Amino acid sequence: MLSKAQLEELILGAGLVVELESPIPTDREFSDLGLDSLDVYNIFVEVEVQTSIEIPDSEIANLNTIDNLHAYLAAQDS
Amino acid sequence: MTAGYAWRPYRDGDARAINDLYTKITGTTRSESEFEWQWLSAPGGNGGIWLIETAGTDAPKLVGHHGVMPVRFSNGESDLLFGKTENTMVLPDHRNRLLYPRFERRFANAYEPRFDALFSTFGDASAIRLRKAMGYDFSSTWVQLQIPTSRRADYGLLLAVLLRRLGLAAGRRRDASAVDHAVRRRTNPLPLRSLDDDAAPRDAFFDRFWAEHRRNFRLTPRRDKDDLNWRFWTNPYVSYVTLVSDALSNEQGYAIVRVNGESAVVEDIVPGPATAGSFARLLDSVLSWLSANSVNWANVSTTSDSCTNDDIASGLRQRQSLARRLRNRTPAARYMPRKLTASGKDKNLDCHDWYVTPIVFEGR
Repeated sequence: MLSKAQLEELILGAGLVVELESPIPTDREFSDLGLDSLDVYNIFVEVEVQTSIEIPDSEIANLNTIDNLHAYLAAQDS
Repeated sequence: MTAGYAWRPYRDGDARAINDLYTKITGTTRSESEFEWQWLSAPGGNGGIWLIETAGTDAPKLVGHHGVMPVRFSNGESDLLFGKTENTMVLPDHRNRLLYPRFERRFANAYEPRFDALFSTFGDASAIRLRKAMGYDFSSTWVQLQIPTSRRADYGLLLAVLLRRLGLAAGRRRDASAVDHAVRRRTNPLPLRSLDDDAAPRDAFFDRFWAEHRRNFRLTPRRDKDDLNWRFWTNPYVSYVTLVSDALSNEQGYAIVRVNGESAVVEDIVPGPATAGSFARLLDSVLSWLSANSVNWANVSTTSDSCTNDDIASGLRQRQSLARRLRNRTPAARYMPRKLTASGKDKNLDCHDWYVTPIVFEGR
């Protein structure tokens, strides 16, 4: 299970076009942070690789913040 | 609230919904017959058309589209099939809710095996980033040359040079020798026959020209009669003038131009044999023809590929240098990304050895 800190580290290392500074506000939407769909796609790829959890398309719209993504992963892990 | 999105390939009856989406995204209308021409009538076969729809609702709504148009290429005597990505679009309201790159990965996995290479002709910054992530090469750009066809235009430039040198107009100093060159050139043009879109498909020249000369070209779109007929002569958007040079037995060629008042776009130009001299003479003859028909400027486009049929590239570079010096401007970077598929790699194709013209556009 990834902690929020690990999730943030993973996002910072996902090769994003925007340079995010740590700490990333965990309740701000990715689009508000300046991330485009390719950035978000890269984050999800990294998350799926790291956790072996496949995120269905139907969940994508809801997983738009670090908080939401972390909560989703925690639910899948429990 | 949608439960998510689903994707599927095109089915008969989708054209109207796709055109509606196209209009919402681009502001441009497209009829069903225009859709059919672009996506279902090309000599390379039907286009690969992929739709993204809302899922979990009674009536799925089309919110995204991605297509790949089959373009027949050749490498010497070898036939190839390339795919041009086209009409990638997602409704703005859904861009933050669906992860489009994930869908394009799926589409590409489905269509890549059909093609030897993929390419795009244009894209905004986000599309460029996406295609880079998909493995496309971005080292080639389109180069557009604007060349004066007539002495009147040349003298207009000469006047502009003089005005600038006298400090009467803003701008940097130009190279007068380039203007001299422009004024002295084109002393012996080849005779050209001009054909309209009805006559060109019936002209016997196109039954044999490409078959006789394709072996001298490396990676380039095929120019069999079927290819030209689809792209130009049955194009629903544009009427063209086809100029044929076949008076000499050892030096022939053709150009297809779109005339817009005092300027023209050379949308394809192919000399046979593929040498710098033949290319330069054909281009100069086309410029003379345009000049004689009251066209003062010609736009000629190709890509920056370094080894575009070396001889032709040499001929183009001469004109490119001239045009750039005359216009004193650097063309804006407009990428032509491309990617070899597994099939293209197996055939040892060179990703940078292409001779392309606006034949790979649709003329809109």
